[in-house]
This record gives sequence, C-alpha cells and structure tokens, in this order.
Amino acid sequence: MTHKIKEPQPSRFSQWLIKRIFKDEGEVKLGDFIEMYSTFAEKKGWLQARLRFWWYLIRSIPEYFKDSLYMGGTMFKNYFKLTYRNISRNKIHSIINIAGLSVGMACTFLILLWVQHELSYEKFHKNADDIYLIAWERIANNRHYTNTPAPLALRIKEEFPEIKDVTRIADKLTRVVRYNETVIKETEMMAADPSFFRMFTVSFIQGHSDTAIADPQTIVLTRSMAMRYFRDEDPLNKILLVDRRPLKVVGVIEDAPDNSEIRFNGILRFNDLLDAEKQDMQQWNNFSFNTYVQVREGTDLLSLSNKLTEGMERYRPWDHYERTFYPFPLKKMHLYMPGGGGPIKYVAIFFMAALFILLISCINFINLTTARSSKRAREVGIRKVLGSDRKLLVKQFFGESAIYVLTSFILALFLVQLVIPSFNSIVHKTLSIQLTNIPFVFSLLAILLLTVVVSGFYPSLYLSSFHPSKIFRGNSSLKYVPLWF
Amino acid sequence: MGMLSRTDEMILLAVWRLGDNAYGVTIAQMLTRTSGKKWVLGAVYVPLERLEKKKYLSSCLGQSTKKRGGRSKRLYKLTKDGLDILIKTKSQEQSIWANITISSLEKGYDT
Repeated sequence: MTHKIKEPQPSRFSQWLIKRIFKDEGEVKLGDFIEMYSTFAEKKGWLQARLRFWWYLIRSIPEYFKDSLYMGGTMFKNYFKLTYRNISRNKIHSIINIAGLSVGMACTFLILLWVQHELSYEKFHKNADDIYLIAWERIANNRHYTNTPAPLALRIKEEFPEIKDVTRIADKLTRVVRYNETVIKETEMMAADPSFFRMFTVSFIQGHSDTAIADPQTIVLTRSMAMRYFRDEDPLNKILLVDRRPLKVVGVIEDAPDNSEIRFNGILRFNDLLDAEKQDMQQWNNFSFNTYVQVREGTDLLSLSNKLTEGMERYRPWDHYERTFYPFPLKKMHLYMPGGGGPIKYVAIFFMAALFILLISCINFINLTTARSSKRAREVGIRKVLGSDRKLLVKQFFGESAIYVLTSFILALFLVQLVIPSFNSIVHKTLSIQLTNIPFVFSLLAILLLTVVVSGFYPSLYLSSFHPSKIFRGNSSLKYVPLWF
Repeated sequence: MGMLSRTDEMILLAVWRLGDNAYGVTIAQMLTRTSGKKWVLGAVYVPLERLEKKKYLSSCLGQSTKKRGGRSKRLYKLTKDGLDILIKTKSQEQSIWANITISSLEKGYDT
C-alpha cells in the first residue's frame, strides 16, 4: 500500500524523535503530531510551522515523562534506603570496600593534581601562544642552549617585521638590598626590559604596567619582597639601595605563580644592568641573557629560525662555531625544554599510573562486591519470587554501587585535603583542590562517572543473575546467566 | 471504584463530549478549550493509557487521513465503568458544592 503524501510534513529528525519517545503500535501518536503540524502549517507558513512545532514538541516531552520521573524518584529513594541498610548490616565489609576505593581515588586525585599543575605551566599568560624563547643548537655537539647576547633583541626587533615585541631577561641575580635598617641578600632578582610587562601577564597591585621600569634607576617588587622591607609603609616611590645603588620603587606586583619557569622577587631594569663601557664586540660575545620574542599571528617559525641563524652570522661575523638559532615556544618551556629532557616523560608515566591505580581500585571493588554474592543471593531470590524484574535488580545493584562510589569519592576528597600539605612538601609545589577551577572539577566528575560505570557494571549484572530455584535448593554453584539471554 | 483525580475527570469528560471523534489531537484541543490551560499532546497520552488500563476507556484504531501522514487515529470511548464513575463523580461534586456560590465563598461561612 502506497500513500501519496502531498501534505506538509514535520522534519525527518523530529519524526524520528517522536517515534523514539512516544512509542506505540501503528505510530498513532506520530500521526497525532503530524496532524498538529498540518494544523500549524495551514495557519502559517512552513517555517513558522516548523518553529512552532519544535516548541510544541519540546513542551510535550517533559509532560509525557512527568509520571515516570516521579516514579523514578520514589524508586531512587528506595534504593538509597536499601543501600544504607546494606552498609550498616555489613559494617566491616562496607568499610573495607569504601576504604579501598577512597584510598585509590585519593591517590589518583593527588597524581592528577600534580599532572594538571605540570601541564598548566605558563598557560596563564594571555600571549602565551605567541611568545617564544630564542634558543640555539651548537651543531658540533648537538647541544641546546638558551642564552643569547644582549644586543640580539634590539637588532631583531628592528629588522624582522614578524616580531611584535622583545624582552631580554637576566634571572637568578643576587643583590644585597637595603632599606633603612633592613639588609637582605636577595637571590631571585631578575632584570628585564619594560616590554616584559606588555608581553607577559603580571598583575600590578601598585603602579602601572605601561610605565614600570621605563625610567632609569627604578625597580618593581613582588608583594612578598615589598613586605620584607616596607611592611605597613607604602612602598611606592621609596628608594631602595640595591648593591649600594639607589633605585626607586615604581610598582608592586603579585608574586610569580608556581606554574611559571620565570621566577623573580624584584624586577630590575635590564639597561641598568648593562655595562655601557663595554665594546660592541664584547656585548655580542656575552651569551648570558634570555631573549623572549612575541611574534605576530601567522608567523612561519621555520623561516624565522633561518632568519635568526643567518642574522647572527651577520651580527657576529667572527663566530667560528656553527649554530642554529630557533624560537622555542614558551608553553613548552617547562615540560620539554630546548633539546629535550623536561619532565614530560614523568608526567606521562604518572598519568598512566593514576589511571591504573583507579582501575585497580575498581577491580578490587568489583571483587569485594561479588565475593559477597552468596549473602546477597537469597535477597535476589526473594525479590525475583516476589515478581521483581531482572532489569530492576540490575538498576538496584548499580545504584548501590553508585552510592558506594559516591561515598568513597567524598571521602577521597577529604583524604586529599588531609595529606596535601605533606604531599606538597614532597613535590615542592603548592597544590590544592580548587573548586573554582572548572576543568578540574569536570575531570573530577568524569572520574566519578567512570568509576561508577566501571565498578557498578559487572556486580550489578552478576548479582542479579541468580536463578531463584537454584538459590533455595541450596545449590552452591550459582551460575551467571547473561542478561541478554 | 475509587475516586477520580482531577486530570482523569477532565479527560473522561473531554472524551464524553467528543463522542465518536475522541483521539489525541481533539482531546488535547478540547481540554485546552474547557480548562483554559494549554494542554499539549504529550500530556494526554499517559493519563489516557492509564484510564484505559483501569477500564474506564476503551480504544480502537480509526481511519487514517492524509493530514496525519497516513497514520491511523486511536479513537477513545467511554466504557460502562467510565460512565458510571463520571455519574458518581458528578453527584458527589454536586453534594460537595451544594448551595455554594462564588460570592458565598468570598463572604465566608456563617451558621
């Protein structure tokens, strides 16, 4: 029988959706919906009809499920009560079960916190994608270096149009700093060009990033360094004696974040550092600074590398080493390091370890749960005799596992909070669970979900599989029957 | 025979009013017209099926139209039980609401 349908029809997708949701014999409900659509289409054009129809459908679906949702809620309450009773009836078993899972989860979380921290290095800089460190390789021994001479930055900024900004950095400087009676030997001082504050993301507490260290004899302090000298005083425009030279404080910034390789207490002017007396050739031979560049969008890094190498041959014609210069991405600096050898290997290893620990705790959970099957068998038998459906039992046991996992999850979070101070002292970091860190929270929830599925799947199928007649006949060999049989 | 819920009562009445033409779309439209509240198709199927299970309604497949994309209608009819419970509900309602008007409700009950 073929129908010639000339009438306007709702979209195929919505028809499919209706068929899936409003199941019945003969597609009567679909017919009702199509009739509704036709009514809409008669009154208005097809586009408006489509929109109205979708809106109608969207309102219809929750109405249809209202009843079953309510029932679902009641069922869930019932599972919850049953699980609670089961936990309190077998206290020792439950404690072992939950403890095993929560310790496993806590381990996983700790490792993942560390991994996440390792991966987050330098990502907080707004321009992180465009910033590169100039590195070079000595062809003779295949070694990689990141130190460059000071004039390089100025020349490439002038000559290469793809370079938007440059800054030179000299770090780990030691300076004796004095203010009134306070004299401290500071070991983490850094010198940079004023463009540093344009390129890198540094938040100013006092002063402004545009004007900081623009004038000679000025310095910017981090919050904690400023505290060491000024405490309650306002540090702005005060004079510090740095290696006996008076420098004016023009800004106070937040301490360098943990997840950065660029460490500093105070930032000096790079130009104050240079010895103006030195000859040009001596300057070019002094490979002791880092040069960071910010490139324009769409820069070809390979050609930039060639230009750098070729340029250096021009700037230093007397060089008798063969070197290849190249831009190395800031974001990769911590994990990979120019020439390799960064902690990326350990990050990968520990990440795998975290997953395996989680998997093993899930397997342990499955093992413990199914080990108790002989005790649960009678319950299953009674339920089946009283008319419980196999699917209902699967749901119940799955829900039970989910509640166990949820309890372990919450315990694991407490456990992590408990051990994180000592963990931090081992890994030399200041990790913490930050619930404002959305990706982290999502990964926690993903782990929770994964654990629920992995550890609930098998026990629920296994425990619900027993055949009542065999259980009550005292047959000790309980055979697993596949659900889809 | 128990009591009818408000939704069930409205649906049974709609089916009664519609006579030979009571199916999903018309029932939803009738309910929208009589109750003053927008009823969507999704909201009528569950109570209809429940009432059929309780034997207050019976149903059969009706003819198909082009407008329905060739699918047939499911026509609902009140059963004897359904009619009985409507009569019972109506008489109960009348005795509950006996001598009460909106204005007397507003005034308050005095002895």
